[in-house]
Amino acid sequence: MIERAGERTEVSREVEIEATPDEVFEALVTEEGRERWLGEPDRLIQIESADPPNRLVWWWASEERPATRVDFRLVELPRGTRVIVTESVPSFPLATLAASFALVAA
Amino acid sequence: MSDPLGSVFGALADPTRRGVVEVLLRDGSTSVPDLAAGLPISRQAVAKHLAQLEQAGLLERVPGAGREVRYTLRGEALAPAGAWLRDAERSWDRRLGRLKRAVES
Repeated sequence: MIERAGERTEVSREVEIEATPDEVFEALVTEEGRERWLGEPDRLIQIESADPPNRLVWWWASEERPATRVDFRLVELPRGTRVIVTESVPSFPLATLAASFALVAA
Repeated sequence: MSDPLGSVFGALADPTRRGVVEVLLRDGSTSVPDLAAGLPISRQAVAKHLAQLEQAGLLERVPGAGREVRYTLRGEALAPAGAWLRDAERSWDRRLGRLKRAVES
């Protein structure tokens, strides 16, 4: 249990969207675009790198949550775009433990 | 403990103590002599770091061979890490669903 928890430092999810990578990228990279779906204004977002329309990496944090890294990869499909997002904690165990205890304390 | 969050942050604020937690994640258990052999600090300093981690609720003592005292991470101390990961997965499922609806509309 402990060993398994120690090895896993990130989560990855994906979705297929019927839109071009450019349209999806716009919704990720701009504040106006994010307002349409993210709805978490307490999180401060700092863009680490942007490679439109293929990849976007940001760091985010809020008062309750320590910084984590969010990595979006956009893959063009015949009829849309696959978005793969990976959120990772910068250094286990400190960040994960701190985030975990922050969640428990909230 | 009146402030478990604060004591955990305090316990983990020190790089040596974070190193101890990493050793425990790797090896499962450790002891003062084991740690002192691998760190450039005295046994007394090692014992002090272990005591602080124990007070923060991150470690517990387990019997070793003979009179040896060994330390392990408390299972409950890491269980919330699993909760964080599950929470992050659920959150991204919801966010990606909203992203899809927003972009496709």
